[in-house]
Amino acid sequence: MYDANTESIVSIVGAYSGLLARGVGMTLVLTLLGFTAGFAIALLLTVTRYMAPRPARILAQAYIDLFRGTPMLVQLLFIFFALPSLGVQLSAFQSAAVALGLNSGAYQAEILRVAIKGLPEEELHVAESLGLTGWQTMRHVVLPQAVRASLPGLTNEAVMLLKDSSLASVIGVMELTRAGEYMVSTSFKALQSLGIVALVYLVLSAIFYKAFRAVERRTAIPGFQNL
Amino acid sequence: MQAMGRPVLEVRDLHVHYKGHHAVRGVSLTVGDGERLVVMGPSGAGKSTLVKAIPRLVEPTSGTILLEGECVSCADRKTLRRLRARMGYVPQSYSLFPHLRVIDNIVLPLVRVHKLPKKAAVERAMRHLEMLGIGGLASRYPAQLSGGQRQRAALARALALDPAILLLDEPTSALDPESRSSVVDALYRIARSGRSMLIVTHEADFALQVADRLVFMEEGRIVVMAPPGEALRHERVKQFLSSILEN
Repeated sequence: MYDANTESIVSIVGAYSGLLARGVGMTLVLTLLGFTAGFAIALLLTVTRYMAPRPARILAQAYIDLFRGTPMLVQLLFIFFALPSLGVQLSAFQSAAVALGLNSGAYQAEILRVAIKGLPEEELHVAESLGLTGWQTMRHVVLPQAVRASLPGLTNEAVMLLKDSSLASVIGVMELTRAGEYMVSTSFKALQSLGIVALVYLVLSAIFYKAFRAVERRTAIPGFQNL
Repeated sequence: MQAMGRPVLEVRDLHVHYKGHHAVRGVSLTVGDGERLVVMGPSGAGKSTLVKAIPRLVEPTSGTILLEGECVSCADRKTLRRLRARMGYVPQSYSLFPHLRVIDNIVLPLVRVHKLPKKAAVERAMRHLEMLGIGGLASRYPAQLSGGQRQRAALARALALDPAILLLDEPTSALDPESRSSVVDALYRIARSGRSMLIVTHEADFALQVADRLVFMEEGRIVVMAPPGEALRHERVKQFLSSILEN
């Protein structure tokens, strides 16, 4: 039984290697695009939250509440199926990338908020007392520390995003999960096909954890243990 | 009780509510050019709140603050930033930004606020670090320094901005005895240079030797403001100083 499964796993990997490689590539592209766009959105939301006039701050908070308070699948389906009726037509790939970026932006903004809350008030007093503007304080004092302190949270967010990218399969994007579904439907070997897909996700997650840990080490402040 | 010389700092009838307390209640004082005003008093007397309220890091409830005749208490944001950069504020802890090297901690405000070219800023920063005996630590990060070295670096940053007055909020209280003595030495050196200073401290020896006038605060009010010799004749000041010296 074990030998038969092992043999069929090897044969499935051989038979579908091209499809699997495409699926992994698309999963990585979606995750990295979503994470990078999300990080840019999170920075924008953070600066807005702390520095913009009240109406803009309320809008930033509403954005965060909206994207954290509704399922990502609903957001994805809305972008792909509902936006065309408002004149915005996006491909399946574009819809998935936009949904992942918008959603991750809200979560990353929360991770940054918690990190900023952890900064000593006295440090901000010092920045003010030196005559730095609000923007200079944000740019040179707050964000460099907050981003470092956020790295463990951002690592989790990146891995969540890697797994959430599987939702793109619902609208037909040929990423890893969709590749797995195709393998099941053509080989009729669900156990082996989905086992392979799960294993690839596990390996990718491990690589993400390692990569972010390396970034944490490289950006650590010498002698400073708290970040 | 007049401050000597032209007043660099004037505080008139200052009231501050901070964290739910009426922490400063009608404080008035002046610091003259080159004068060292030392503020002492028990915990909760409002000393730190007073020092934070002068550059409006804590917003006063009412009262007037003038720096070299310019109104700090009624300044708009842009003017306030300019005036704050003329007051060298050093808190008791978290005085340096941990993610920046010591030299960059000093260069940052020189370049961003005072608009000095980077090279001139680095030269000025090094001059002040060397003056306080920590020139060799310029490329270290704050967490790689002892508490005393950190506070001296913070003093060097404040001095590099060439402030009209130094506002020091218990700069030695969070330090171990060895670090404390290195900072007190640095404070003596700065005091001798003729810089106007308002210092909140529990260092009785330093206060008595350096202060031109000693302010004793209790429950948000100034109880005594006089030259040290005269202030020492007040029973409450004597009691307080002897309790410090016992500890």
